[in-house]
Amino acid sequence: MKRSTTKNKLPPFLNILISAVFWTALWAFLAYLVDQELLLPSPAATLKRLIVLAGTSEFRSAAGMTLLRVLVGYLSGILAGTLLAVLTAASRPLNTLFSPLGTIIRATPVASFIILALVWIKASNVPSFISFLMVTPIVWSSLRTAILNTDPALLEAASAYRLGRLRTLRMVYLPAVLPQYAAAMITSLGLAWKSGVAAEVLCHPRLGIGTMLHESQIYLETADLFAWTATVILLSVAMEKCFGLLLKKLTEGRNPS
Amino acid sequence: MSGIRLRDLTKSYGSKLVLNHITADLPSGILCLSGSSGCGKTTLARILAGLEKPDCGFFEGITGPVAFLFQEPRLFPAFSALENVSCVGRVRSSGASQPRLRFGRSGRRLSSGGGGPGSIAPSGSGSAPEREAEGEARTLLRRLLLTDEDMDKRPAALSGGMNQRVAIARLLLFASACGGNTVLLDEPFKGLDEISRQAAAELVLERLVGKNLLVITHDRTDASLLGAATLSFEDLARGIFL
Repeated sequence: MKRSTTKNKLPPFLNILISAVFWTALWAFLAYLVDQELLLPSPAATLKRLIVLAGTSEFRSAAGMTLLRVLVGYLSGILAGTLLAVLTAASRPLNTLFSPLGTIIRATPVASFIILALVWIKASNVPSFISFLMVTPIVWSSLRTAILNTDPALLEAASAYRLGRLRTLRMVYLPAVLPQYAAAMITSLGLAWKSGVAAEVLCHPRLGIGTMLHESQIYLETADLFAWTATVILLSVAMEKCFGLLLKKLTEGRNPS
Repeated sequence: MSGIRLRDLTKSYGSKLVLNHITADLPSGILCLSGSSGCGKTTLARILAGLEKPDCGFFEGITGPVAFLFQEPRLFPAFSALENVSCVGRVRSSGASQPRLRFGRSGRRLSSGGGGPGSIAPSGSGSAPEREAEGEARTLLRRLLLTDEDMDKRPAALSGGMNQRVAIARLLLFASACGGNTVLLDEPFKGLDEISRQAAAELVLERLVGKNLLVITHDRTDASLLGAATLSFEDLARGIFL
Protein backbone atom coordinates (compact mmCIF):
# COMPACT_ATOMS: atom_id res chain seq x y z
CA MET A 1 0.00 0.00 0.00
CA LYS A 2 1.24 3.44 -0.89
CA ARG A 3 1.89 5.78 1.99
CA SER A 4 1.45 9.47 1.83
CA THR A 5 4.73 11.31 2.08
CA THR A 6 3.12 14.59 3.13
CA LYS A 7 2.96 15.44 6.83
CA ASN A 8 -0.37 15.66 8.61
CA LYS A 9 -1.51 19.26 8.71
CA LEU A 10 -2.54 20.70 12.07
CA PRO A 11 -6.11 21.98 12.44
CA PRO A 12 -6.32 25.79 12.12
CA PHE A 13 -7.25 26.41 15.76
CA LEU A 14 -4.14 24.51 16.89
CA ASN A 15 -1.96 26.66 14.63
CA ILE A 16 -3.48 29.79 16.16
CA LEU A 17 -3.01 28.38 19.68
CA ILE A 18 0.65 27.53 19.06
CA SER A 19 1.27 31.01 17.66
CA ALA A 20 -0.53 32.67 20.59
CA VAL A 21 1.41 30.60 23.15
CA PHE A 22 4.72 31.51 21.48
CA TRP A 23 4.08 35.27 21.47
CA THR A 24 2.63 35.28 25.00
CA ALA A 25 5.66 33.38 26.24
CA LEU A 26 7.96 35.90 24.54
CA TRP A 27 5.99 38.77 26.11
CA ALA A 28 6.21 37.11 29.54
CA PHE A 29 9.94 36.58 29.10
CA LEU A 30 10.53 40.23 28.12
CA ALA A 31 8.38 41.42 31.05
CA TYR A 32 10.45 39.19 33.34
CA LEU A 33 13.68 40.71 31.96
CA VAL A 34 12.45 44.31 32.26
CA ASP A 35 10.91 43.59 35.66
CA GLN A 36 9.09 46.92 35.86
CA GLU A 37 5.32 46.81 35.51
CA LEU A 38 5.26 50.50 34.69
CA LEU A 39 7.24 49.85 31.48
CA LEU A 40 6.03 46.42 30.51
CA PRO A 41 3.39 44.57 32.53
CA SER A 42 3.38 40.80 32.31
CA PRO A 43 0.60 38.90 30.50
CA ALA A 44 -0.66 37.69 33.89
CA ALA A 45 -0.89 41.24 35.29
CA THR A 46 -2.66 42.42 32.13
CA LEU A 47 -5.14 39.55 32.27
CA LYS A 48 -5.77 40.24 35.96
CA ARG A 49 -6.52 43.91 35.22
CA LEU A 50 -8.71 42.92 32.28
CA ILE A 51 -10.77 40.62 34.49
CA VAL A 52 -11.11 43.31 37.16
CA LEU A 53 -12.05 45.97 34.59
CA ALA A 54 -14.49 43.68 32.80
CA GLY A 55 -16.46 43.35 36.03
CA THR A 56 -17.16 47.09 36.20
CA SER A 57 -20.13 48.82 34.59
CA GLU A 58 -17.78 51.57 33.35
CA PHE A 59 -15.93 49.01 31.24
CA ARG A 60 -19.11 47.74 29.62
CA SER A 61 -20.36 51.26 28.94
CA ALA A 62 -17.02 52.41 27.49
CA ALA A 63 -16.64 49.31 25.32
CA GLY A 64 -20.28 49.51 24.22
CA MET A 65 -20.03 53.18 23.26
CA THR A 66 -16.82 52.64 21.29
CA LEU A 67 -18.35 49.63 19.55
CA LEU A 68 -21.39 51.71 18.64
CA ARG A 69 -19.32 54.63 17.34
CA VAL A 70 -17.08 52.40 15.24
CA LEU A 71 -20.05 50.47 13.90
CA VAL A 72 -21.90 53.66 12.89
CA GLY A 73 -18.79 55.06 11.18
CA TYR A 74 -18.01 51.74 9.51
CA LEU A 75 -21.49 51.09 8.14
CA SER A 76 -22.00 54.64 6.93
CA GLY A 77 -18.52 54.49 5.34
CA ILE A 78 -19.50 51.33 3.47
CA LEU A 79 -22.72 52.94 2.32
CA ALA A 80 -20.99 56.13 1.13
CA GLY A 81 -18.12 54.18 -0.46
CA THR A 82 -20.57 51.95 -2.32
CA LEU A 83 -22.60 54.90 -3.55
CA LEU A 84 -19.50 56.82 -4.67
CA ALA A 85 -18.09 53.72 -6.39
CA VAL A 86 -21.27 53.15 -8.39
CA LEU A 87 -21.60 56.82 -9.32
CA THR A 88 -17.96 57.34 -10.28
CA ALA A 89 -17.82 54.05 -12.22
CA ALA A 90 -20.95 55.01 -14.14
CA SER A 91 -20.01 58.60 -14.90
CA ARG A 92 -16.64 59.97 -15.94
CA PRO A 93 -17.51 63.59 -15.07
CA LEU A 94 -18.56 62.49 -11.58
CA ASN A 95 -15.30 60.58 -11.23
CA THR A 96 -13.35 63.68 -12.26
CA LEU A 97 -15.33 65.67 -9.72
CA PHE A 98 -14.97 63.25 -6.80
CA SER A 99 -11.53 61.68 -7.33
CA PRO A 100 -9.56 64.59 -5.73
CA LEU A 101 -11.70 64.07 -2.63
CA GLY A 102 -10.56 60.44 -2.38
CA THR A 103 -6.92 61.41 -2.92
CA ILE A 104 -7.11 64.09 -0.21
CA ILE A 105 -8.77 61.76 2.30
CA ARG A 106 -6.19 59.06 1.67
CA ALA A 107 -3.21 61.44 1.90
CA THR A 108 -4.25 63.54 4.91
CA PRO A 109 -2.97 62.35 8.32
CA VAL A 110 -5.74 60.98 10.56
CA ALA A 111 -4.64 63.35 13.36
CA SER A 112 -5.31 66.38 11.12
CA PHE A 113 -8.82 65.14 10.42
CA ILE A 114 -9.46 64.47 14.11
CA ILE A 115 -8.36 67.95 15.15
CA LEU A 116 -10.32 69.57 12.33
CA ALA A 117 -13.41 67.49 13.11
CA LEU A 118 -13.17 68.54 16.75
CA VAL A 119 -13.62 72.13 15.59
CA TRP A 120 -16.62 71.28 13.43
CA ILE A 121 -18.60 68.63 15.29
CA LYS A 122 -19.43 67.39 18.80
CA ALA A 123 -16.52 65.51 20.39
CA SER A 124 -18.54 62.34 20.95
CA ASN A 125 -19.39 62.18 17.23
CA VAL A 126 -15.81 62.64 16.00
CA PRO A 127 -14.79 58.94 16.31
CA SER A 128 -17.70 57.84 14.10
CA PHE A 129 -16.86 60.55 11.58
CA ILE A 130 -13.19 59.54 11.50
CA SER A 131 -14.03 55.84 11.06
CA PHE A 132 -16.40 56.86 8.27
CA LEU A 133 -13.63 58.89 6.58
CA MET A 134 -11.17 56.02 6.76
CA VAL A 135 -13.57 53.35 5.46
CA THR A 136 -15.15 55.32 2.61
CA PRO A 137 -12.12 55.64 0.26
CA ILE A 138 -11.11 51.99 0.68
CA VAL A 139 -14.57 50.66 -0.21
CA TRP A 140 -14.98 53.32 -2.91
CA SER A 141 -11.73 52.59 -4.74
CA SER A 142 -11.94 48.78 -4.44
CA LEU A 143 -15.54 48.57 -5.61
CA ARG A 144 -15.04 51.08 -8.43
CA THR A 145 -12.05 49.10 -9.72
CA ALA A 146 -14.04 45.87 -9.51
CA ILE A 147 -16.99 47.39 -11.39
CA LEU A 148 -14.72 48.74 -14.13
CA ASN A 149 -12.91 45.41 -14.42
CA THR A 150 -16.13 43.47 -15.00
CA ASP A 151 -15.68 41.34 -18.10
CA PRO A 152 -16.93 43.44 -21.06
CA ALA A 153 -17.62 40.25 -23.06
CA LEU A 154 -20.11 39.11 -20.42
CA LEU A 155 -21.71 42.55 -20.31
CA GLU A 156 -22.08 42.43 -24.08
CA ALA A 157 -23.66 38.97 -23.84
CA ALA A 158 -26.08 40.25 -21.18
CA SER A 159 -27.00 43.13 -23.46
CA ALA A 160 -27.35 40.91 -26.55
CA TYR A 161 -29.66 38.55 -24.65
CA ARG A 162 -31.68 41.48 -23.29
CA LEU A 163 -31.18 40.54 -19.65
CA GLY A 164 -32.19 43.98 -18.44
CA ARG A 165 -30.52 46.01 -15.70
CA LEU A 166 -31.53 43.98 -12.66
CA ARG A 167 -30.62 40.63 -14.11
CA THR A 168 -27.32 42.00 -15.47
CA LEU A 169 -26.58 43.28 -11.98
CA ARG A 170 -27.37 39.86 -10.46
CA MET A 171 -25.75 37.66 -13.08
CA VAL A 172 -22.74 39.70 -14.20
CA TYR A 173 -21.83 42.57 -11.88
CA LEU A 174 -22.46 41.03 -8.44
CA PRO A 175 -20.44 37.83 -9.00
CA ALA A 176 -17.64 39.93 -10.51
CA VAL A 177 -17.40 42.50 -7.73
CA LEU A 178 -18.35 40.57 -4.59
CA PRO A 179 -14.94 39.01 -3.78
CA GLN A 180 -13.12 42.36 -3.99
CA TYR A 181 -15.96 44.20 -2.24
CA ALA A 182 -15.95 41.72 0.64
CA ALA A 183 -12.15 41.95 0.96
CA ALA A 184 -12.38 45.77 1.11
CA MET A 185 -15.05 45.57 3.82
CA ILE A 186 -12.89 43.27 5.96
CA THR A 187 -9.74 45.37 5.44
CA SER A 188 -11.49 48.61 6.30
CA LEU A 189 -12.98 47.18 9.50
CA GLY A 190 -9.59 47.07 11.24
CA LEU A 191 -8.92 50.61 10.08
CA ALA A 192 -12.29 51.77 11.40
CA TRP A 193 -11.35 50.47 14.85
CA LYS A 194 -7.85 51.96 14.85
CA SER A 195 -8.97 55.39 13.66
CA GLY A 196 -12.10 55.42 15.84
CA VAL A 197 -10.14 54.66 19.02
CA ALA A 198 -7.40 57.15 18.03
CA ALA A 199 -10.10 59.80 17.66
CA GLU A 200 -11.46 58.94 21.12
CA VAL A 201 -7.96 59.34 22.60
CA LEU A 202 -7.74 62.86 21.19
CA CYS A 203 -11.39 63.88 21.73
CA HIS A 204 -12.03 62.38 25.18
CA PRO A 205 -15.73 61.65 24.90
CA ARG A 206 -17.29 60.93 28.32
CA LEU A 207 -17.37 57.18 27.67
CA GLY A 208 -15.09 55.30 25.32
CA ILE A 209 -12.11 52.97 25.20
CA GLY A 210 -9.93 55.77 23.81
CA THR A 211 -10.76 57.96 26.80
CA MET A 212 -9.82 55.09 29.12
CA LEU A 213 -6.57 54.55 27.24
CA HIS A 214 -5.76 58.23 27.63
CA GLU A 215 -6.52 58.17 31.35
CA SER A 216 -4.38 55.06 31.84
CA GLN A 217 -1.50 56.87 30.18
CA ILE A 218 -1.96 60.00 32.35
CA TYR A 219 -2.03 57.98 35.59
CA LEU A 220 0.79 55.69 34.38
CA GLU A 221 -1.40 52.60 34.74
CA THR A 222 0.39 50.58 32.08
CA ALA A 223 -1.42 47.35 32.95
CA ASP A 224 -4.74 49.13 32.34
CA LEU A 225 -3.36 50.48 29.06
CA PHE A 226 -2.55 46.94 27.98
CA ALA A 227 -5.93 45.65 29.20
CA TRP A 228 -7.86 48.30 27.21
CA THR A 229 -5.70 47.63 24.15
CA ALA A 230 -6.46 43.92 24.49
CA THR A 231 -10.15 44.83 24.66
CA VAL A 232 -9.89 46.77 21.38
CA ILE A 233 -8.09 43.84 19.73
CA LEU A 234 -10.66 41.33 20.98
CA LEU A 235 -13.63 43.46 19.87
CA SER A 236 -12.05 44.19 16.48
CA VAL A 237 -11.24 40.53 15.85
CA ALA A 238 -14.72 39.42 16.99
CA MET A 239 -16.39 41.98 14.71
CA GLU A 240 -14.11 40.96 11.82
CA LYS A 241 -15.07 37.32 12.33
CA CYS A 242 -18.80 38.16 12.49
CA PHE A 243 -18.67 40.26 9.31
CA GLY A 244 -16.46 37.66 7.65
CA LEU A 245 -19.04 34.95 8.33
CA LEU A 246 -21.89 37.20 7.20
CA LEU A 247 -20.09 38.08 3.95
CA LYS A 248 -19.23 34.43 3.38
CA LYS A 249 -22.91 33.56 3.72
CA LEU A 250 -23.92 36.35 1.37
CA THR A 251 -21.31 35.55 -1.30
CA GLU A 252 -21.69 31.77 -1.02
CA GLY A 253 -22.39 30.26 -4.42
CA ARG A 254 -21.98 33.58 -6.19
CA ASN A 255 -18.23 33.47 -6.52
CA PRO A 256 -17.35 32.89 -10.17
CA SER A 257 -14.32 30.72 -9.43
CA MET B 1 -40.44 36.28 -45.60
CA SER B 2 -37.83 38.63 -47.00
CA GLY B 3 -34.13 38.48 -46.38
CA ILE B 4 -31.76 41.10 -45.02
CA ARG B 5 -30.89 44.01 -47.28
CA LEU B 6 -27.56 45.73 -46.75
CA ARG B 7 -27.12 49.19 -48.15
CA ASP B 8 -23.75 50.91 -48.35
CA LEU B 9 -22.57 49.40 -45.04
CA THR B 10 -19.15 50.71 -44.15
CA LYS B 11 -17.04 50.10 -41.09
CA SER B 12 -13.42 50.80 -40.31
CA TYR B 13 -11.26 50.43 -37.24
CA GLY B 14 -8.75 53.25 -37.31
CA SER B 15 -7.18 53.20 -40.72
CA LYS B 16 -8.30 49.63 -41.47
CA LEU B 17 -11.37 49.50 -43.66
CA VAL B 18 -13.25 46.31 -42.75
CA LEU B 19 -16.56 46.77 -44.56
CA ASN B 20 -16.29 48.81 -47.75
CA HIS B 21 -19.69 50.17 -48.79
CA ILE B 22 -21.37 46.75 -48.87
CA THR B 23 -24.68 46.65 -50.68
CA ALA B 24 -26.32 43.27 -51.00
CA ASP B 25 -29.63 41.45 -50.68
CA LEU B 26 -29.24 38.30 -48.63
CA PRO B 27 -31.76 35.58 -49.41
CA SER B 28 -34.21 34.56 -46.70
CA GLY B 29 -33.76 31.21 -44.92
CA ILE B 30 -30.40 29.74 -44.03
CA LEU B 31 -27.19 31.19 -45.42
CA CYS B 32 -23.59 30.35 -44.54
CA LEU B 33 -21.09 33.13 -44.89
CA SER B 34 -17.49 32.02 -45.20
CA GLY B 35 -14.27 33.89 -45.70
CA SER B 36 -10.71 34.28 -44.54
CA SER B 37 -9.91 35.40 -41.00
CA GLY B 38 -10.22 39.12 -40.46
CA CYS B 39 -12.16 39.74 -43.68
CA GLY B 40 -15.08 41.33 -41.80
CA LYS B 41 -17.63 38.50 -41.35
CA THR B 42 -17.91 38.90 -37.62
CA THR B 43 -17.98 42.69 -37.90
CA LEU B 44 -20.93 42.42 -40.27
CA ALA B 45 -22.72 40.04 -37.90
CA ARG B 46 -22.06 42.34 -34.94
CA ILE B 47 -23.48 45.30 -36.85
CA LEU B 48 -26.57 43.31 -37.77
CA ALA B 49 -26.95 42.27 -34.12
CA GLY B 50 -26.77 45.91 -33.05
CA LEU B 51 -23.57 45.36 -31.09
CA GLU B 52 -21.59 47.76 -33.27
CA LYS B 53 -22.51 50.78 -35.31
CA PRO B 54 -21.47 51.11 -38.93
CA ASP B 55 -19.64 54.25 -39.99
CA CYS B 56 -22.39 54.76 -42.52
CA GLY B 57 -25.05 52.85 -44.41
CA PHE B 58 -28.03 50.90 -43.18
CA PHE B 59 -29.74 47.54 -43.30
CA GLU B 60 -33.33 46.41 -43.55
CA GLY B 61 -35.36 43.27 -43.04
CA ILE B 62 -34.59 42.52 -39.40
CA THR B 63 -37.63 42.36 -37.17
CA GLY B 64 -37.36 42.38 -33.39
CA PRO B 65 -34.24 41.53 -31.38
CA VAL B 66 -31.51 39.56 -33.15
CA ALA B 67 -30.43 36.29 -31.54
CA PHE B 68 -26.64 36.23 -31.73
CA LEU B 69 -24.32 33.34 -30.91
CA PHE B 70 -20.88 34.69 -30.07
CA GLN B 71 -17.70 32.95 -31.19
CA GLU B 72 -16.94 32.17 -27.52
CA PRO B 73 -19.61 30.70 -25.23
CA ARG B 74 -19.66 33.79 -22.93
CA LEU B 75 -21.51 31.98 -20.18
CA PHE B 76 -22.04 33.63 -16.80
CA PRO B 77 -19.43 31.91 -14.63
CA ALA B 78 -21.26 32.13 -11.29
CA PHE B 79 -24.35 30.34 -12.57
CA SER B 80 -25.07 26.76 -13.56
CA ALA B 81 -25.49 25.67 -17.17
CA LEU B 82 -29.24 25.46 -16.60
CA GLU B 83 -29.43 28.98 -15.13
CA ASN B 84 -27.33 30.30 -18.01
CA VAL B 85 -29.92 29.02 -20.46
CA SER B 86 -33.15 29.63 -18.57
CA CYS B 87 -32.25 33.25 -17.75
CA VAL B 88 -32.99 34.28 -21.36
CA GLY B 89 -36.26 32.42 -21.51
CA ARG B 90 -38.53 35.25 -20.49
CA VAL B 91 -37.65 37.93 -23.00
CA ARG B 92 -40.40 40.31 -23.87
CA SER B 93 -40.04 41.77 -27.32
CA SER B 94 -41.22 45.32 -27.78
CA GLY B 95 -43.40 43.86 -30.48
CA ALA B 96 -42.75 46.48 -33.09
CA SER B 97 -40.76 45.56 -36.12
CA GLN B 98 -37.29 46.82 -36.88
CA PRO B 99 -37.37 47.03 -40.64
CA ARG B 100 -34.77 49.67 -41.20
CA LEU B 101 -31.88 51.08 -39.25
CA ARG B 102 -30.12 54.01 -40.79
CA PHE B 103 -26.80 55.37 -39.62
CA GLY B 104 -25.03 58.57 -40.48
CA ARG B 105 -21.36 59.03 -41.27
CA SER B 106 -20.55 58.94 -37.58
CA GLY B 107 -22.42 55.69 -37.11
CA ARG B 108 -25.11 57.44 -35.12
CA ARG B 109 -28.52 55.89 -35.64
CA LEU B 110 -30.56 58.34 -37.68
CA SER B 111 -33.84 56.51 -37.81
CA SER B 112 -35.33 53.26 -36.77
CA GLY B 113 -38.45 51.49 -37.72
CA GLY B 114 -39.60 51.31 -34.14
CA GLY B 115 -38.04 47.98 -33.23
CA GLY B 116 -36.65 48.92 -29.85
CA PRO B 117 -34.83 46.34 -27.83
CA GLY B 118 -36.77 43.67 -26.03
CA SER B 119 -36.14 43.20 -22.36
CA ILE B 120 -36.51 40.54 -19.74
CA ALA B 121 -39.94 40.64 -18.22
CA PRO B 122 -39.79 41.88 -14.65
CA SER B 123 -39.46 39.18 -12.03
CA GLY B 124 -41.96 38.80 -9.26
CA SER B 125 -44.83 38.25 -11.65
CA GLY B 126 -45.03 34.67 -10.46
CA SER B 127 -42.75 31.70 -10.92
CA ALA B 128 -44.74 29.95 -13.63
CA PRO B 129 -42.90 31.62 -16.55
CA GLU B 130 -39.61 30.88 -14.80
CA ARG B 131 -40.52 27.23 -14.40
CA GLU B 132 -41.58 27.15 -18.02
CA ALA B 133 -38.25 28.65 -19.11
CA GLU B 134 -36.37 26.18 -16.93
CA GLY B 135 -38.30 23.26 -18.40
CA GLU B 136 -37.57 24.47 -21.91
CA ALA B 137 -33.90 24.97 -21.02
CA ARG B 138 -33.70 21.39 -19.69
CA THR B 139 -35.25 20.01 -22.87
CA LEU B 140 -32.78 21.91 -25.05
CA LEU B 141 -29.79 20.88 -22.97
CA ARG B 142 -30.87 17.22 -23.03
CA ARG B 143 -31.24 17.40 -26.79
CA LEU B 144 -27.69 18.75 -26.89
CA LEU B 145 -26.55 15.66 -24.99
CA LEU B 146 -25.96 17.23 -21.59
CA THR B 147 -26.93 15.16 -18.55
CA ASP B 148 -29.01 16.51 -15.64
CA GLU B 149 -25.86 16.40 -13.56
CA ASP B 150 -23.99 18.54 -16.12
CA MET B 151 -26.81 21.09 -16.13
CA ASP B 152 -26.22 21.88 -12.47
CA LYS B 153 -22.52 22.48 -13.01
CA ARG B 154 -20.97 25.86 -13.57
CA PRO B 155 -19.14 26.61 -16.85
CA ALA B 156 -15.72 26.17 -15.23
CA ALA B 157 -16.63 22.56 -14.39
CA LEU B 158 -17.68 21.75 -17.98
CA SER B 159 -15.54 21.09 -21.04
CA GLY B 160 -15.19 23.63 -23.86
CA GLY B 161 -17.51 21.61 -26.09
CA MET B 162 -20.13 21.37 -23.34
CA ASN B 163 -19.97 25.12 -22.79
CA GLN B 164 -20.48 25.68 -26.52
CA ARG B 165 -23.57 23.46 -26.41
CA VAL B 166 -24.90 25.41 -23.42
CA ALA B 167 -24.35 28.60 -25.42
CA ILE B 168 -26.28 27.10 -28.36
CA ALA B 169 -29.14 26.13 -26.03
CA ARG B 170 -29.21 29.68 -24.64
CA LEU B 171 -29.35 31.10 -28.16
CA LEU B 172 -32.18 28.79 -29.19
CA LEU B 173 -34.25 29.63 -26.13
CA PHE B 174 -33.64 33.35 -26.66
CA ALA B 175 -34.48 33.09 -30.37
CA SER B 176 -37.83 31.50 -29.60
CA ALA B 177 -38.60 33.86 -26.70
CA CYS B 178 -37.60 37.16 -28.27
CA GLY B 179 -39.85 36.95 -31.31
CA GLY B 180 -37.24 38.28 -33.73
CA ASN B 181 -36.90 36.98 -37.27
CA THR B 182 -33.10 36.87 -37.49
CA VAL B 183 -30.53 34.55 -35.91
CA LEU B 184 -26.78 35.04 -36.36
CA LEU B 185 -24.42 32.21 -35.51
CA ASP B 186 -20.70 32.92 -35.37
CA GLU B 187 -18.74 29.65 -35.66
CA PRO B 188 -21.56 27.72 -33.95
CA PHE B 189 -20.08 24.23 -33.99
CA LYS B 190 -16.51 25.11 -33.09
CA GLY B 191 -15.04 22.61 -30.65
CA LEU B 192 -17.87 20.10 -30.96
CA ASP B 193 -17.31 16.42 -31.75
CA GLU B 194 -19.16 14.77 -34.63
CA ILE B 195 -22.10 13.49 -32.56
CA SER B 196 -22.58 16.83 -30.81
CA ARG B 197 -22.33 18.73 -34.11
CA GLN B 198 -25.00 16.53 -35.59
CA ALA B 199 -27.28 16.94 -32.56
CA ALA B 200 -26.73 20.70 -32.49
CA ALA B 201 -27.35 21.12 -36.24
CA GLU B 202 -30.58 19.07 -36.03
CA LEU B 203 -31.82 21.15 -33.11
CA VAL B 204 -30.93 24.44 -34.81
CA LEU B 205 -32.83 23.43 -37.94
CA GLU B 206 -35.81 22.24 -35.90
CA ARG B 207 -36.06 25.23 -33.58
CA LEU B 208 -35.29 28.04 -35.98
CA VAL B 209 -37.80 27.23 -38.67
CA GLY B 210 -39.17 30.36 -40.30
CA LYS B 211 -36.30 32.60 -39.23
CA ASN B 212 -33.51 34.08 -41.29
CA LEU B 213 -30.37 32.29 -40.25
CA LEU B 214 -26.93 33.66 -41.07
CA VAL B 215 -24.11 31.30 -40.12
CA ILE B 216 -20.58 32.62 -40.08
CA THR B 217 -18.08 29.83 -40.43
CA HIS B 218 -14.67 28.77 -41.63
CA ASP B 219 -15.80 25.20 -41.92
CA ARG B 220 -17.59 24.28 -45.15
CA THR B 221 -19.03 21.15 -43.53
CA ASP B 222 -21.20 23.40 -41.32
CA ALA B 223 -23.10 24.42 -44.46
CA SER B 224 -23.71 20.82 -45.48
CA LEU B 225 -24.80 19.93 -41.93
CA LEU B 226 -27.39 22.69 -42.12
CA GLY B 227 -28.18 22.08 -45.78
CA ALA B 228 -27.48 25.74 -46.45
CA ALA B 229 -26.13 27.73 -49.37
CA THR B 230 -22.67 29.15 -48.83
CA LEU B 231 -21.63 32.61 -49.83
CA SER B 232 -18.08 33.85 -49.56
CA PHE B 233 -17.62 37.18 -47.91
CA GLU B 234 -15.64 38.39 -50.91
CA ASP B 235 -18.67 37.69 -53.16
CA LEU B 236 -20.92 39.46 -50.71
CA ALA B 237 -18.62 42.47 -50.80
CA ARG B 238 -18.99 42.48 -54.59
CA GLY B 239 -22.77 42.57 -54.20
CA ILE B 240 -23.44 39.24 -55.85
CA PHE B 241 -26.88 38.92 -54.21
CA LEU B 242 -28.00 42.34 -55.30
